[in-house]
Amino acid sequence: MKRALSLTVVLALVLVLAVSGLALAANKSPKGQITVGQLGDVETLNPLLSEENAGTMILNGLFSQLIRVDEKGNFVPDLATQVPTVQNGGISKDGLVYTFHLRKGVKFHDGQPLTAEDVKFTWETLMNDKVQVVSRDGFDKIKKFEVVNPYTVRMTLDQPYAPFLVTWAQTAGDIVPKHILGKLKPEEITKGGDFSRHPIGSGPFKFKEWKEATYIIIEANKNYFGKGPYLEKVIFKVVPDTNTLLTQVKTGEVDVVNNIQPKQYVQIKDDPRLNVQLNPASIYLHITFNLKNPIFQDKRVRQALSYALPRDLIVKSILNGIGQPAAGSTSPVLWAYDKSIKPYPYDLKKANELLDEAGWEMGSDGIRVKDGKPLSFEISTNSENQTRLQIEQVAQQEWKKIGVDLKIKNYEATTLFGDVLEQMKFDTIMFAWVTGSDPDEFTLYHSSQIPTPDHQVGQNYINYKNPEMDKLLEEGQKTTDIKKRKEIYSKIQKIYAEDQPMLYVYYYVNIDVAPKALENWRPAPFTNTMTWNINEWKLK
Amino acid sequence: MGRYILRRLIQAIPLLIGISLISFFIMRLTPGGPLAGYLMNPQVSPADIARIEKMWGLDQPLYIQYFKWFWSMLQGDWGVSYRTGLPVFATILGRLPATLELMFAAFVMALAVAIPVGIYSATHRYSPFDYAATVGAFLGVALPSFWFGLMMQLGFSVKLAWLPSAGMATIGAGFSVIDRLRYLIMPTIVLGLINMAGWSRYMRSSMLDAINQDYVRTARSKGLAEKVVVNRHALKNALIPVVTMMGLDLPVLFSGAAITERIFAWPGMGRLYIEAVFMRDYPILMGVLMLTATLVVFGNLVADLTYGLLDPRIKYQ
Repeated sequence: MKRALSLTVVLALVLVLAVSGLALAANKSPKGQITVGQLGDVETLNPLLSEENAGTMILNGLFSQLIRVDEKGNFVPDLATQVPTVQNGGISKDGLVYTFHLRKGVKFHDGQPLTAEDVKFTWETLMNDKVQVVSRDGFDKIKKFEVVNPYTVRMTLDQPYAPFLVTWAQTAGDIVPKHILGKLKPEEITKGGDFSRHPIGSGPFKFKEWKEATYIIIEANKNYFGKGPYLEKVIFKVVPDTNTLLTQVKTGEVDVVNNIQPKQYVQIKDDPRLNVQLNPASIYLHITFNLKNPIFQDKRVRQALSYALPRDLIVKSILNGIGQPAAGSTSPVLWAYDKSIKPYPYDLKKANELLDEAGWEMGSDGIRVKDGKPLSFEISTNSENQTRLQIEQVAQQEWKKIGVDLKIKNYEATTLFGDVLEQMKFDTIMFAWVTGSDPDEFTLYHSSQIPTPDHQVGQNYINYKNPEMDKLLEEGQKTTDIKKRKEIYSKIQKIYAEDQPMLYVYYYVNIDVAPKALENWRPAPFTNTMTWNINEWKLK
Repeated sequence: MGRYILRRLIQAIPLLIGISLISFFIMRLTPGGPLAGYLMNPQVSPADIARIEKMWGLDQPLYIQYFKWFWSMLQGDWGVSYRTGLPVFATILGRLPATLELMFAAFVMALAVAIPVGIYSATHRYSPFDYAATVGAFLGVALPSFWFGLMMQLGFSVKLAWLPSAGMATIGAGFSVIDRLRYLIMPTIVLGLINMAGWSRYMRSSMLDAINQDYVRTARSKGLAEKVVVNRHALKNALIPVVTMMGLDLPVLFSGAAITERIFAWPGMGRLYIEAVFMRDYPILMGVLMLTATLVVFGNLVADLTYGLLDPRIKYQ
């Protein structure tokens, strides 16, 4: 009798659950469509092989990740039930073992369940030499990958690596279905393969149609495990010209964009239909010194040039105020940003004093001289970028005032990055670094990361060697405690503020546009872009 | 005639091989490469770059890369795009119809306007119409297409809301000729304008030449109506230099299409090419170059054959 009763209770419970489950499914009545404008067509929709922002914009809708980064830079669970921390046991005390528990009942768009095996397969594919994966950053730190049970995975690192969680919150960490890709030979998993053109994920939207160089349509996945989706369809439309893109926003042919240029801002900022946001981005423009050049080996010269660079003027007159003078390479949107460090003020007097001190004497022609050599060097940037060309001219004029002869020598982007930068054939070079949501910049500043012709590692194109910085960068990667990390990165920021291994010019500010009717649209400043929460997007 | 065509086609083969050689090696002379973009990505390690270089065969000597490319080309395999991993031939073929549609529309429009305007200007020299046509032609040649395109979009899409600003068709709507035409109007005018202006000037001067010839005077003295004199006797001869121009302008139209396609988000070959240049997507670049070269060779042949139709004195053997 008792058993029968409990059986009835169980049955009743099951029934209630089933009904509520049905009710939940019925709640998903997505409606309306949104058109997102993008400058370029996507290379591939296989997340493991994708390496561009335009791809991430769409893949965020099609695939799920273990965890995601929200607009404030915090980790939030996606496929994982919670974000691993030392407190909840997800990260071992020594920072070596990470455990993720997966949600149950998650299904791919073809109805097959998503389990720990798929997560492991994703990692194995990323690490397979026969697959054309571009970056394995972070994934290569995993020494051992275990499937504990169908809903638990455990990863053991070869050494503590604090930025590890970011690894699983990027596009390459999108979980792909083993039951589809596992049937292929590794060399058959290519950018142009069938899966790349008809992807099957577990995200809030399903792939519908791709018309080359024109558009990609994704449509609501009514069986999505999380919140939403509330939109029936999202169209990603290719509009390669920035002026045309703006026109399409004005006519309403495009609803959402993140590629509006600073000089275009005034044209739409007061449009009553649009929600136009200025969001700080984790990107900064810099002028990197080549420290192999003896001129720059004296810190005072670098500081003088920094004092003579009018950052406020650049932001105000060239960027129309859409940017923020930079104090360093840690962007203000990162948790590690130290507010107490200010950008170098524009101070010609100080700059002149520093150069005098460094032994550079003013010559009769207005150019400083030391040991018979003039204070003259080149600056290079990619010639397609108008903003950078204007900044070069400002620098040329301003530095002339302190007796510096700056020569401008620009190249087209592919040449600049593929040749001039790689071979370090520059005196100073101007471009932007994109940083993620983690402050780690080991590859830019650590002395082991200086590329040489026969030993190509890292991006320390500065030739920067500072034992103290090396130590801090290593510690920063090993420390899992966020408070301690913050202290470490604060010290790092103080060092490069003093040292000026590069001139930090300004932090980017994105101009993000959406219709006012679109709710829950919260663009993220990080590389995961504005569609990180596309499942929550909703039309009023 | 048949033998002439055959001879011309056979002559084209060494020409095309020469073009392929020159393009292949000049392309590789330019600094930077398809992997340049990764160098400024802190997440891509140099080991990753070396791995991909090997995968694409870029680590081999240039001449071997050329022969490999040439050999597979002969077998109909144009290679795979670095950017998308898709076969080059299919990619180009997918983009070609859009470009041809736009080029054809622009060609027809330019022809339909330039020829009558040129004739009328010549027969009514120094009339107000002639002056207006002259000024119009200079304006047409001088207007930069990116600016003109933008102005059209501002006028007809933003202000008047008559035409869609860019694209080839309404997304999601089924095929409809009217819809397609609405999208076609602005890019056609922008692309056709340059040729329209140039050709009308050629037509005018060549017509002026013709109507002062002896045979035209003879025709007039026979008492033929002016209309017949102009249309039957003068026009045919006046067209020959214009047809040459049109043949030579085909590649110009092609490069003009690249800009127009970009402004109007037209999914054509010009855009494909420009994007491939910036990426150094060698397989796509070679594919497009070879196809354009073939088209140009072919265009010239067609122009030469058209002379024969226009002028019975020109015969090909």
